[in-house]
Amino acid sequence: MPEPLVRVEDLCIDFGSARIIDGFSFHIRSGETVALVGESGCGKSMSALALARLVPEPAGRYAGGRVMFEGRNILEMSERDIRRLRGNKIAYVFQEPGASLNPVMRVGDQIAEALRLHRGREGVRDEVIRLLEMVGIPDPANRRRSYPHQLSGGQQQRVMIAMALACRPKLLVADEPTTALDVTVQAQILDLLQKIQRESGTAILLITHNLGLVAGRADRVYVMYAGCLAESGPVEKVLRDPRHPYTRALLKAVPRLNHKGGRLPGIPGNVPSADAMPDGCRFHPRCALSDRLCAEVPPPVEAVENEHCVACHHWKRSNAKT
Amino acid sequence: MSIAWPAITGKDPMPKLEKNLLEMDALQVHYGPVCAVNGVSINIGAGECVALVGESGCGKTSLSRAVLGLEKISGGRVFFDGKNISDYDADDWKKYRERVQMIFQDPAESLNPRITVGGALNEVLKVCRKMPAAERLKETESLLKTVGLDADLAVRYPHELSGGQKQRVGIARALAVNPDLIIADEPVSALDVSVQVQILNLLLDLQQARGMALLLIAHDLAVVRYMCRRIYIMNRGEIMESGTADQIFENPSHPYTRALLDAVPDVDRGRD
Repeated sequence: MPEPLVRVEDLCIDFGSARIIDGFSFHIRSGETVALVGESGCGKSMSALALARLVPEPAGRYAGGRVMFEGRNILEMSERDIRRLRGNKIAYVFQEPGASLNPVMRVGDQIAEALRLHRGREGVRDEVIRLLEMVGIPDPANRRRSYPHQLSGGQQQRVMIAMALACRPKLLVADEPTTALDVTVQAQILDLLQKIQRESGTAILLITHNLGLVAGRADRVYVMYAGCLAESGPVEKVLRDPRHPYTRALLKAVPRLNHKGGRLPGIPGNVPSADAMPDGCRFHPRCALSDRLCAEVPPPVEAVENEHCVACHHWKRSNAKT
Repeated sequence: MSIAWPAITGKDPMPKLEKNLLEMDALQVHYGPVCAVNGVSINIGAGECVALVGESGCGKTSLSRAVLGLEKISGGRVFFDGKNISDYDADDWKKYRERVQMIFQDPAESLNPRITVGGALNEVLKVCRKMPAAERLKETESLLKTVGLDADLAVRYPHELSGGQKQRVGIARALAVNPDLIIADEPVSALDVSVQVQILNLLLDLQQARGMALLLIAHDLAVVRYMCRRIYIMNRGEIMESGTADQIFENPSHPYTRALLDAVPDVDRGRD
């Protein structure tokens, strides 16, 4: 198997004395869509930021592990080298397009910025128009002169995607790209990301708190809980045969159209705060399967089959009630 | 969505209610020349849970604000308990606002960052329910417990709470006056899926236990399915379709409703 585009090994990130990412490993192959799923505060955004060494320092600190991108460790690169990567080979789309765009700059100029920086000045105008057209903005030649407030939320997110794609990145990190948007617009934006990936072969890391979103939209999924891996594997496997109690609980929490009457099963309790992580398995205080072993020993990551991995002492009791 | 859908006229599939708590009759709200709400009629019975579903900009928030008297009504009428709210005097308004409460979308923005959780609840109890200090303290504790929060949280400030906890405080504040109707404007769209469920279950439990009416405003049809008996679908300031939850989900007659249903992410769908 060829070396993947990105390989993160045993990543640890500290904020103050709290370890918010604890030995998290994952990889993304070229042209693949990988989803990273978990609740707020589970460390999924921080893991994604680490891919371009964007964790805010010195508040945050890389405490261990490696982030290998095309064979080089990003955490040990010079500032100069890494600036050549950011926005060029690794690009980000964030949750709130309104907050990520510069309100006093025309959207076309914002897209052009990255192009000028990484690709030179030739043909920038035409390229901007082409990009806007690609992300489905009508009348791109005129729309590029719009300011962000003149666009709807969905269009703003399309501009963000155009900006991220300007330099034809190898990896596009989409951090909750649709959470701030309506459901209908959400479907359009996700369709757009899929279309782009098919056409350009860009690898996509899709970050979301909604496990329901990844069905049919990603190849593989990593479910994170409190800075650790809970379960990972091909999307169909994880959705059809989830082995970790947390994955099962997340799946049950997704509102479905065919669910009527009665309450939806929630997940009892809250995500532990970073400075009060429970010992052993970090999910055990909220888990119906937990016993003394769970409270004392962190579960190892075990393979269910092929690429399907789970970090739970009791994953074999897959039919157990959770 | 840029297509203008025709409104369905002629038939009214809504079951008739015996007595309406809140009745909107051809309600209109204008912002200058822009018509945000155009002739909307919605009825809510006492103790009933009704959903209003539509995308951003469809006018659902303007509508709820108009009902609360926070926005000027430019046409049509709103009746509460059979009385037109346009005829209210200052006293009536005061009583009305104690009987109708609102829960907002962004819990962080609807709480004062410089007032503790206990302080926020205390204020309502003091101003609206004129409780003596000792009783207020006890009631604050019981309100926090009702919404599933630790009584210790009373001394915390909003920034110390998670999104879900803040939304629970917003609900506790609305409950503090024992309202007959709660209008919840996208109460969960800013929250994680797992927390959404907790908040929706809480609203459902409270609605049933206290016999309150609930107008749940949302953009995601999947969210309202299990909560509400009746659903109104709104687009561009008008009601496109209305009916019982079963009618809307199993037999949607309006293309816009179908478009909304199609947009809901489906866990069970395969990769194409």
